[in-house]
Formats: sequence, C-alpha cells, structure tokens
Amino acid sequence: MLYHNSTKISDDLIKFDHVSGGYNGELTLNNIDLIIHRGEFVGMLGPSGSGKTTLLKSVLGDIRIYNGTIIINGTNNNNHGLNIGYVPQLETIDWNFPITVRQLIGMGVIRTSKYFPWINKEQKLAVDAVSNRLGLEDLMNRQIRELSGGQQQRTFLGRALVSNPDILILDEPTSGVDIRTKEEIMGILNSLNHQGVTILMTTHEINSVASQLPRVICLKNSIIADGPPKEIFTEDNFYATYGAAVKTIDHEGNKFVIEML
Amino acid sequence: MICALLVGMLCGVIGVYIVLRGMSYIGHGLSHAIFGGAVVSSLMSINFFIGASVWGFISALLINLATKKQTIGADAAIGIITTASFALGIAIISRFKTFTRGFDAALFGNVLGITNADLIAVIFVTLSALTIVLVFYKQLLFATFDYEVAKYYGVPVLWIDVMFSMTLAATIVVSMQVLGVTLIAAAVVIPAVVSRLLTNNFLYMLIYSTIIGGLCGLFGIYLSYYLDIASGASVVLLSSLLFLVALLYSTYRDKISRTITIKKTK
Repeated sequence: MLYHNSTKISDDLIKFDHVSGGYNGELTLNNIDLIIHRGEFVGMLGPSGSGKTTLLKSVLGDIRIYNGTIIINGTNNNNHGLNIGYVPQLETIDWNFPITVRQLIGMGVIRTSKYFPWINKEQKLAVDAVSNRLGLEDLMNRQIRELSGGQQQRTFLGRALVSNPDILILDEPTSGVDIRTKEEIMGILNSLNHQGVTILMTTHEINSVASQLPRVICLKNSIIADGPPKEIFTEDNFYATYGAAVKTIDHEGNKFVIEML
Repeated sequence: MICALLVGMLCGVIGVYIVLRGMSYIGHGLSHAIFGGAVVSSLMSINFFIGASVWGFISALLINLATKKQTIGADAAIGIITTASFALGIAIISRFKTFTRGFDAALFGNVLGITNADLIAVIFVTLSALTIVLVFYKQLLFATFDYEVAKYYGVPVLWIDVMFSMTLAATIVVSMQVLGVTLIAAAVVIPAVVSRLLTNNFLYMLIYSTIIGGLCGLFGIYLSYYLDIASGASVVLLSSLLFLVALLYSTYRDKISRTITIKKTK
C-alpha cells in the first residue's frame, strides 16, 4: 500500500542547517541540510552506522553538535515547546520486566504528571483512548512478554501517543515483525499522519516500507538523496548509500529494489 | 524487633530496583565497600553514620559510573572498587585494631547490639526511602525500565541515579548492624526476587517485596533469638526458604496455566 502525506503539510517543523555532529568526537553526521515540514511522513534509509539513529537523537537533543544549527519549531534551543513522542528500537527492551500494558502506556504522561504513582482522571481517559485507538483495550493487564510482536510495538507506540505528540520519532518500528504486523503498524502510522502527526522514522526495509512512503532520505553520514521513492530510488543512489549494486524496477507506479547478490 | 522489621522493609523496597536494574552484584559489592568506610571513619573518629554513608555514596556513584563504561567490563570494575575498599577495612583493623563496633556483628549482624542512635537512623532512612519511592515512583520506574529513553521523556536520569545511590548507600549503612556486611546483599535481593515470582505487575512487586522483607526481618529475629544464631543469618535463611516456596509455587502455577491454554486450543 502506498502511503501519502497528510494533506496539511505546512511550515518548517525541524530544520538542519549545515549540521555536523556525533558522539565522543566522531563525526556521525556530516554537513546535514534538511527540512521536515509539519504534517510530513518521512523515512530514513541507510546502512548500519550511517547516522540514522544519530539524526533522530539529534532532534531529541542528545547529540553533540560540532557545527551548524538545528532549528526546531522556530528556535535553536531545547525550549522548543514541541511535544515529541519517541519509540525506540525494541531489541534492547527487557521483556521480563514486570510491567503491564496499562503501566507502560501510562509512562507516557510523565511530562505532565511527574510525581506519585497515580494519574488524574483526564490522564486515565487519555490512556484508555490511546489503547482503544490501537486496539489494546483487552490487553491492558497483560505483562509485555505475553504480547505478540505487533502488540508490543503498538504498546510502545501508545506510550509515545498518550501525550498527543506533535511529532513521532520511531527507530525501526517494523524491525523483526512479520509481513502482516508490518502492514498493521504502517497502517496505524499512516492513519496518525492523516490526523496531523508528523512522522520521522528509520527503516532497513527498502521494498516493504520505504518504497511506500511519500518521502525518503538516503543517509550515509551525509544526505545522499532526499525525495519521493519514485525519484530517488536509483541504482546510483543505492550504490552511494550502501556501496552495493542493486537493480531497480517499476511495478504499478512504485519503484522496487532487487539485490544483486 | 521494630528495627528488624524496618530494616527488612527497607531492604525489600530498595531490592526491587536493584534486581530490576540487574544490579544484584552491586548490592553485594557496596556492602563490602561500606565496611571499609566504616573502619576508616572509626580510625579517624568520625561519626559512623556520616563516614560510612559518605564512603558508601561515593562507592555507589563510582559503581554506577563503572557499570555504564563498556571498555573495562562492569563486573571487573565493581570487583576492583568494592574489594579494594573491603581490603582497606581489613588492613586497618589488623594494623590498628581500632574498630569500635563489633567485628563479628559488622560481618554477620547482631540485632542485640543495636543502640538508640542505630534505631533512629533506621527509622529516618526507612521513612526517607519510602517517601522517595512514593514521590518519585514514575521517574524511578521509567529510569529503571528504559534508562536511555527516560531522558527523552523529561526524566532527570542523572539526578535519579544520584538520589538512588544515596538511598542505597544509606540503606546498607543502617542495615549493617542488624544483617551484617556479608548478608545484606541477600536480604536486599531475595524479597524482590520472591515477589517477582509472584507477580507481573511492578506496583504489586514493590508492595509484596516491602511486606516480605519486613516479615522476614521480624520473624528472622525471632528465629535468631530462639535458635541462638546470628540475626543476619536467620533473616537470610528465612528469606531463602520463602524463595524456595515461591519458586515451587510459580513453577506449579505456570504448569497449570500451560495445561489450561493447551486444553482451550484443543
């Protein structure tokens, strides 16, 4: 299924102006120029170590910027007032942790309810609304290990959504899940985007995920290509990004990639 | 008895975070490190609680730092910091023989040696720890479950770490006389592990662990009196027995639940 941007794309939400940065003196991002508009649905492709997660974390303010400026919501400091929902890679999660779906989604209200174990009525309603929206209402008392891969991903998505974020940042949300679950997750993200949520995500899946998105950025420490998959999915761009030869084919108006092993 | 109950509750509540952070070895190491601090404060005529707490807090921070360093390996770093501190305590005792608190009591626990000052310290630390856990419940939960992501949701993870390290150090300092250096780690870890076996819910785990810790402290002291054994040993043996019962119960429960699932799918 081909996903389209929300019809309400408007002003610049995030702007990278000649940004170079990274961790421990290493230059993971090199001279990045990039604008994410409000209401966009953007995917990032690139090999491991190409700076995808670093770019996401730079929006979250967790990366040392050596050069350039990141302007978020019109300001270049951390008081940008933007509500960011972050969904990390789930590989590092301790699935044995004694936490239920309700408790995990409830963590998302921490910005507005910092102290004591309880949450107010309004926040309880928000947790219920998100769980209904994501089809988790019957699983609220389950421990996270007792969920399927798709349900786990939806639960973490719920934590990010419960505070009504302006932008959702997702690190490989479809990694390690089956085709049906992948379609389900992408369907939810598409629907959220059409409700006005800006989405920025990374993926390793070129054909099943990236080729369906309205805008894709190919990254290898600097931006190799940026635009709709139909325009940027070229053999030259993939060679420059991955250092591997691929063939691209057109199928029903979409561009797909065949790996040449 | 009040002292043993409170120390048990204190170790039970702190133990939940220690176990879920995968820091069981830290509890063990820190108690040894604090022993060194206790001996040094005795040698320098500094108040035991202040000297041992400051020493413990610095050790806890160093341990926390070491666990986040990937290059040397957390277990190796913890081993060096804590055994070096313990060895320092032993070296000072053997050289100056100035440790005023009973050496055996410090190692194995002796509830009969508790002074009024010890009791006041236990009450103060228990109330402080319970208040911290209640007030900062959400932030501690987030930082324990998902440390890296917690900061993106506005949790001040560094401050939470510092506060937790202080509470942990204070817990071990005030528990030392009742449980003994060598047995504190078990008293911290076992109630949390028992409650983990009983529930999949974090809040219930916290409540169960506090209650189990308190009961083991209370009845462990009774056992210690009637069997004439060290108080730390009786508390830990009672907790270990509960662990065995909880393990058997959870294995049986899981087996039953699997059988029901198989029958339903047929």
